[in-house]
Order: sequence, then structure tokens, then C-alpha cells
Amino acid sequence: MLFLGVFLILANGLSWMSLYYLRKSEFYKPSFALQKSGEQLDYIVLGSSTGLTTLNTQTIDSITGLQGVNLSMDDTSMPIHALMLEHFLAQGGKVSSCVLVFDAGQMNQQTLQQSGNAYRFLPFIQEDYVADYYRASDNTLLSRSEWLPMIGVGYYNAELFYPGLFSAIKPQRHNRFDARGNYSYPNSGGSNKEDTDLMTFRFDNPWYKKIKAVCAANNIELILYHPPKFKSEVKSDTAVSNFINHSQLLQDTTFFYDELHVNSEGRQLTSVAFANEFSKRIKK
Amino acid sequence: MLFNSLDFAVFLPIVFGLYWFVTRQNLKLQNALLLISSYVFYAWWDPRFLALIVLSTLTDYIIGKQLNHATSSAYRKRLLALSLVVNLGMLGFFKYYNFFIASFQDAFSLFGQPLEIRGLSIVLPVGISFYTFQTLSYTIDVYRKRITPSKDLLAFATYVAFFPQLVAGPIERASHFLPQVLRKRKFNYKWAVSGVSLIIWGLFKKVVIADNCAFFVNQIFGDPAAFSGLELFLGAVLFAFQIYGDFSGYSDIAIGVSRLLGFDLMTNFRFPYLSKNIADFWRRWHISLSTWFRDYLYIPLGGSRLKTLLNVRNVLIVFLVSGFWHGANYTFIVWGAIHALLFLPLLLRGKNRLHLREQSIKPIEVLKMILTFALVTVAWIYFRSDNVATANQYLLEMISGSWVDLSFFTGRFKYLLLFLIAMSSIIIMLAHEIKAYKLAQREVRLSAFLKLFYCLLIVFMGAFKNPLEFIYFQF
Repeated sequence: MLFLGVFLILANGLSWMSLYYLRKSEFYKPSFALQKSGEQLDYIVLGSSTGLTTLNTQTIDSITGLQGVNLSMDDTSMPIHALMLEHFLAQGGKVSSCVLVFDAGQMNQQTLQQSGNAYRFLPFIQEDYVADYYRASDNTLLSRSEWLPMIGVGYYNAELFYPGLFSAIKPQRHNRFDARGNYSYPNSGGSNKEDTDLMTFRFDNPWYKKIKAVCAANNIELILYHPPKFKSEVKSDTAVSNFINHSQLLQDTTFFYDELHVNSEGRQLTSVAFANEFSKRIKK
Repeated sequence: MLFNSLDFAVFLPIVFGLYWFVTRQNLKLQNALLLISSYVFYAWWDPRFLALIVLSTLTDYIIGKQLNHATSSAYRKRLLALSLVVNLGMLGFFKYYNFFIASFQDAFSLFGQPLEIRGLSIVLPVGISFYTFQTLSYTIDVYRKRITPSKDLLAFATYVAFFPQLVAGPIERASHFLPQVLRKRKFNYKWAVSGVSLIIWGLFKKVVIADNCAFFVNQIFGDPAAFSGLELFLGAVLFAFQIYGDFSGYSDIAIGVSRLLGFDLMTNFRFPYLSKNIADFWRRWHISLSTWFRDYLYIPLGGSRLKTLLNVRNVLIVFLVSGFWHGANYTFIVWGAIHALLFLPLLLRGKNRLHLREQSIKPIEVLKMILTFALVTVAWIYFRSDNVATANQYLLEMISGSWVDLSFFTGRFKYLLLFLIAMSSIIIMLAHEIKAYKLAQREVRLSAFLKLFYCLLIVFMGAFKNPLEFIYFQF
């Protein structure tokens, strides 16, 4: 029993320590969001890998004169975007606009699916909204980490424990994103897709509705954005004024890394196009 | 049920509690608990195949009893043949049916006569190679009058199905294990602590070493053409440690769990990568199988006491059968053949029994160990590859490919991290093994501090996200 007790104390102590350093760092987006919540920001970008790699906030800022950060996280979906917004605001963040980058497929999803990168919120497990999210998504490994952090940290040791140790030494280091939260795919890749798809969607995703409600409650303007998708036309079945549809902005495969993601060159073109549209809306 | 699963973490304390606190006073009840637990353990994977274990148990129990009464030599032989047919028949059908059909078709197509026989969609029952060999050894020993047959069906069934070693060994002999089942067990604290120590060590080898190595091995062996010579070399080395960590880790956990229940299982691995030649390796690797083949195949064939040519034949047969035991694929046969070819020069020069007692590690012996490891690793390439042609290509690319490109391991932070974890854990394991080897211990012993240390390493270095079944389950 003594052995078990000492083991539990040490394992949980080390886990707690790694989470503490991750929380204080900028390594993953939730911690990055916490550090950025103290800045004067005009807009934030929420999304998954397409949000992360399509909109370069540095380009947008240079055109619009605004200040924004990209809080998108790869391998996530609408529920995590809602959680990120809630997290940013709960940590004291203030912003005028929120750009929600989504994929039509995501918008049509009605059930809460586990996200591969939900563990990145584990340093904030003591916050009710994070614990609630883990419970709601049936992620028992993470939800049980509230009192026994060794469960989640042990399971995701390569993703949490070592980055935690690393963050103790270099708290400013980012995990594959720049100082404003952006990441770009290289100018390679492409797609062999030949036929153009047509996809329709409805704005009735429950987490979209939650994001909309949170934005309304905090007086934040919500901008909906669909990024370029190679040979895909995306349409909403209802007209929405705050929707920027760039699904067909780029037609040439040389601007794409794969079917869903633009490459570095594609990102530049898209960011400029978005910035121009965004400026017009702000002026209105 | 996997030893490294949450299910087992719940299952074992329940069995342990009932075993020592509820059924301790009654041996029959205790054995019944073990038998039920073993069947539950097995049924967790697929309850349908429990019938095979029951069939094998009843067949050998009845044949064992009949052998005891039979006086006619011919009748005794028929009884033994019946046991062989039932056990090897089951094994042959589930494991080798499709292989033989495919080989048969290939042979016919060589003569320009395609043969249309459909293979069957057969699921290989977990552990069938292990428990059939275990029951066979019982019947053969009864036939040879080396042991008296069991009169207690419950005890015999417990011997066959004992959950810690049911699905991946060690393959226990009835002469060693049955008396333990029939004897009243007393809880021995020191014995139980040594069991816990082995469980921790086994989990470290499985979860930290084997599963982290598997991350790279699966990718490299999945597409060898995409990797440089150096990466292929590292892939082969990592597989050598993956299979060792996986299989010896399972054996250690099995032995450790058995000790918690008051049993003593045979040692299955004894620091095989510290072997000084191939003969030495086979006295240290999968000991329960190699001694099985020695006692029930090699010695009956005449062992090494015949004329040179017959001795060579015997060695070839044993290694080829041993390879084939692992699976219905030519890769395993080639693997066995490589070991036979490496063993034969030692046999012919009468050097196959050296090093039996030596425990020193002189500089020249380090070189011998490295050479033996290198040869074993080459053979592992065939063992791991999908087919012989891919393995040949792997070897060719490994020799001719670039030996400066290591980008697969170093290109991404996560890959570099996992590679460092795998390599450092291998070094830690070898350091412990060298120490135990020098002290002539049969297993690594851990102090309380080291037990704690390894528990922490398991938590913070284990590969939990991609839990893999133990490799030897498929055999």
C-alpha cells in the first residue's frame, strides 16, 4: 500500500507539474489563447486544419490594419471550436470579431465526435467548461484526469508530458504555428480530382448555434468562412449575410497541398481575398 | 484479455482476492476458481473457441487414463496416435489449412494445370499452438511412463487452461506444473513480491520497449522501399527488440502473475541477446518451446548421436518445424532454415554446448555477442516480412541504400522523441540484463526503488495510444 501510495503521489505530481508548465507556455493553442487573451485583439480565427493553414492573420493584418490571432487547431471539429471560444473568453479575452472557418461536412455533423487533439485542453481541466466537454464527449481518459492527472498525461505522454518538460525550459516555443498562430503547408502536393462536387449544408449544427449564441452574448460579430476546396462547390440552403464563401476561389491544383488544404501560395492568395472582403464588412 | 489492458487490471485483483481470501481453505474450490477465471480470460477474446480447449482437455485426460490401464503396446500406440491426430488435427486445420491449399494450387499450376480449391475463412484461435503442445507433452509423457496420468479432471483442466500462460506460454510440462495444481498453495510474501517485480519488468518491456519500437517497425516494414539503408538497418534492430520485449515481456508477466497465485512457471527467456553464438541463443530464447522440440522431436529422431548426415538432418528438421510452428508462411520456414544453417557449423565442430556455464563478458565475447545479435537480426527480417521476396528486397536495400539519411527518425519532434524513448529504454534493459547475466541470475531483480522507478517509466514512456496485441498471440 505504501508502494502504491508513493507511486500515485509521484506519478500525479509529475503529471501535474507537466500540465502546469504547459499552461504557462504557448506550446499548444489553448495555452497560446490564454497568453493572447491579455492583448488588444480585433478578431480571432477559429477552425480546424483548414482554418490553421488558409488564413494567415499576418497578411490579413497588413491589409486591414487590424490585430488578429489564429486559434485554429488541426484535427478538430465544431465542438472544439466552440470550446476554444469559450476558453478564450473565460480567460479574459476580448475581441470584436470571430471568424469561424468551417467545412460543409463539419456543419452537417449533428453528433459530438471525439477530437484527436482534445487532450491539448487538459492543462485547463480544472475549468468547468473543459471538464464538461470531456464528460460530454465520453472521453473517460481525459475526464478522469481531473483528480488523477497521471491518467491523461500517461496516456498522452508523448504529447503532454515531454512537451510539458520542454515548456519549462522554453515557454515561448509553439507547436507548429507562428507567433500569430498560423501554419502553412509547403508549395507542393496538389490533387488529381477530376469532377467537381456540389455540397449543400444547413446552418443548424448545434455547436455552431452555441458559438453564435456566445458571440451574441459577448457582442462579438461572427463571420462565417468556407475556405477553398479543390473542385468542390459548397452552398448553404439558407442565405446568411455574414457568410464568405471561398470554396471556389482557387481552381488550379498548383495552389493546393491536397484536396482540402491550400499550400503556401494558395494561402497567400486566399488571405488577401479574405482581407479585402473582411475590410468591406467592417467598414459597413 | 490482454495483460496490458484495463480489463486485466480489474480482472487480476478480483481473482487474487477470491483466490487468497475466499477459496484458500479448499483446494478444489481454489482450482475451480482458477479454471473458471481461465475460461473467462480466454472467452473475453472469443467464447466460441473455448470448445477447442475443452475438447483438447477431455481428449488428453481420457487418453491419459486409458494409457495407464492399457497393457498392449499396439493399443498404447493407437491411443497416442489418437491424441496426436486430435491435437495436431485441430492445429493443422485452424493454422495451416489455407497454407496447404495455396501451396497445393501453386504446385499444380507449375505443371500448367490450375487447380480450383477454395480456401476457407478461418480465424486462428488465440494460443492454440501453445495449449496443444502443452497437452501433447502430457500424453507423450504418460505414454513414455515418465508421469502418471492425472486422476483429477479439474486439476488437469486447470493445468491446460491456466490463464497466465494459456495464450502465449511458457509451454509448461505436466511433470512440473500438475503437482503444483494438486498441492495446497500457501501465500508467500517474498514469492509474491518477486512476482510483482516480474510483472513490472514485463510491462516495461512490452509497453515501453516493444510498443514504442513497433511505431517505427510497422512503418518501415510496411514500405521498405521508402527508407534509406540506415533506416532499414535501424528498423531491423528495433524489430529485434520489439519481438523480444513483446514476447519475453508477456512471459515475465505470466510468470509474475503465477507467482502471485503461488505457482512457479519455467523461465522462458534468459537474456538471449547476450548469447555468444546461435546455440547459446537457443538455450536462452523461448526456452519452453526449444526444450519441447528437443525432448519430443530432436531426441526421438536420434539427436546428435547419429552419423554426421543424420545429425544434420535432425537439426534441419527441428529448426524447420520450429519455424513452421510460428505460422503458415514461407518466411517462418526461411527463418528456421537460417537458424539451422547458423547452428550446423557449431554442431559439426562440437562447439554447440560451450558457454553453458560461462557468465563472464570479456571484450572478445562482446564481439561474439554483437555478431550473434547481427545474425539473429538478419533472420528476424524474414520473420517480420510479409513474404520472402520482400525480405530479400529489404536486405538488399539495407546494404545498398544510403547510410547517411536518418530523416525518418529525426525529421519530426514526435518521431525523434519516440526514437529516443525506444533507444534509451533498450539501453536501460540491456544494462539490467548484463548485471543479472554476470551474477548468473535467471531473471532481472528489482529493488523497491527500481520497481517504483519502472512504474513511473511505464506511465511516462509507455506507448498507450496504439496498444498492440502481443505478437505471439498470432502463433
